Amino acid sequence: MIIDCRKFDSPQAFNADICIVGAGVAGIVLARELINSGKSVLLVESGGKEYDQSTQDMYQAQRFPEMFPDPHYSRLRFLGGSSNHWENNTSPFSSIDFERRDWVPNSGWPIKYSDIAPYYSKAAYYCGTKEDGYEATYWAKQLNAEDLLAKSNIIETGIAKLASPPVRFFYSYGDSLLNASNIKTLTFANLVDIEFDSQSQRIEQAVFQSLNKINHTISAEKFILCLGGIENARMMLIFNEKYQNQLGNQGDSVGRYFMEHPTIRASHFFTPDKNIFKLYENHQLDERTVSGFFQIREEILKQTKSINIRMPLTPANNYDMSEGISSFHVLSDAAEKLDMPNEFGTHIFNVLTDIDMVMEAVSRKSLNKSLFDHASVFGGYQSHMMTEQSPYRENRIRLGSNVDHLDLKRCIIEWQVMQQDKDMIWKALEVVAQEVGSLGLGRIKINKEHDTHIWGTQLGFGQHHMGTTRMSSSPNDGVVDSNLKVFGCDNLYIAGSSSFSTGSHVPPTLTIAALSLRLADHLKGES
Amino acid sequence: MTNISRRHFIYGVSLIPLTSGAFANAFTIEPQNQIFKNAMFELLQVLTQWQQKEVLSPEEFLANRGINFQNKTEISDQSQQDFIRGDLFEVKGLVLAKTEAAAIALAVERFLST
Repeated sequence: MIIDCRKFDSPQAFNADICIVGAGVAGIVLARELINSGKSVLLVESGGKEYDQSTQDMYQAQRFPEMFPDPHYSRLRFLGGSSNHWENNTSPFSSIDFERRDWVPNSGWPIKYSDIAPYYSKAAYYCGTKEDGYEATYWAKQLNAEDLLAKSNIIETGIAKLASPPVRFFYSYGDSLLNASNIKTLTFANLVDIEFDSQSQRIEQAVFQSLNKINHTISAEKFILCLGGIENARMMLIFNEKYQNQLGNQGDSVGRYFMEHPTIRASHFFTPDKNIFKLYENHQLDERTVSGFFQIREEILKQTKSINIRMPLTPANNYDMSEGISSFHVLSDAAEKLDMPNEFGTHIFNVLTDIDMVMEAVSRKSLNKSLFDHASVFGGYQSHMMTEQSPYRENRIRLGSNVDHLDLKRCIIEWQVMQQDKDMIWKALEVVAQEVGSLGLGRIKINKEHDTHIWGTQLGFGQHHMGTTRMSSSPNDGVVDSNLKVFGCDNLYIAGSSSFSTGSHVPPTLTIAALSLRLADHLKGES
Repeated sequence: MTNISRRHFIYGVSLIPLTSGAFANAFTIEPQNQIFKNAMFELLQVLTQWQQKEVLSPEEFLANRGINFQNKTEISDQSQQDFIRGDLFEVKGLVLAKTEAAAIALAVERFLST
């Protein structure tokens, strides 16, 4: 059943055993797992079945860093959430991601990999990537390809699986929710307030509004926020302002430890024989794409005190690999600002020594004409490398002074990549470069001379928002416990990537789904 | 006109150990070829970096290791061992084995002296 709250011209009161707020990946997985659970469930969503600009406008932030993707549009606020525009790239986290690492500040989850591993198979089912796992050995056999890193003690092959086309979660699973007798879906209902009883430490009811600002209330035994990594934090900060930090914010952790997945083109890989890299190509099979990528083995991460990098190999031609063109952009950007870039001489040198490709770029852009045949010749591999980001308190979501249409404070995003992380990533690349040579696979060029540009105008993002209501064993440095229950509140849970203690180096959605499955089991078990 | 691009040089020279003969062949093309001139800069960089960073000349280095500059296989095998040992040489971010860097530097030195 679906109920459009815009149709109500007077306040409504709803009751349920479980109220799930937010119908993105986390909310939909959770709701679906509660079908026929014997519990009544309300699934509440700000938007409707389709994109709506007025609703989307509530995702506007007051301020965010210049290079950061605009959160107004990097997230989607209707049924299915950001699954309506994701790439569907999935890989599981690794054991080390859950461990305390003394070189990664604030690392360590209160759960182990073994606590979540059993849920990855079903999570893959939800993500459309099927339940045949992510083992490199298995996929090398399936694809009749060689795992070039199988004998290495330093680096290994990771596997990425994508559903083709990507799974839009409400499109795929909405019917089963709408047809479930124990689930009601409310649309165009925005969470605006909660009533928290400090004595009983329980949320008595939650207040929702459509854009017409009529209040509706939901009373439930349990509430679960599934609003996404930025919005979960925003709403928790708003509630904690009202309730003097009693809701998971005893340690001032709500909104903090905000992590993204910086994605950088920091290296080129040259090889004499691209034919051996079959496992690392994109393989289209039965509505999925499967490909290998390079990553560092856990023991080596511990030895070298690095964070991990996900290095897919993207074939590139000479034009794509041109350092002259990269440097030309650096010099152009600097000239626009009447500035002098770092390594000015190096960039001039690159332009001059790669003048053919620079001329090619100018010709393509201005005349739409290619000058040199060799521009299109295979030059090696680029790697759009996804990197782990350490959780720092200073990276955070906080409340601004501007308000949205429903008078809720907009958020301010403070975020940067810390120098320590950059140093660890360069170190990780050196590890890979050495091992690639040891294995006789080729040579890597680490583009450290473009450091400023790589971390500046060329910086890419996974658009993964993590860590802002993190899991911990203590309210001193976390917001939710190992079962995603908010510290200080008996019946409020938070699901999604905001609960991640660390973010790994792979996309989060498979783990979001796995954690939601685990929470569903916990909720069913608690009855 | 031979189409030797700088990029061909980077992975070709890095991965295929040079003999003085092979290297000499590369330089039979007209110096007016702009692409060839680009490759020269890369080659010179290896030599320049070697001269700046290393005490031994490339010839002394190879001789100390008992490596025959004319022997491609020996240079290739030794280079792989260099990577395993971590005996590396970096030129503008390109991570090479020290042996292959010495071989390239020596080849450039000999070419410049002819």
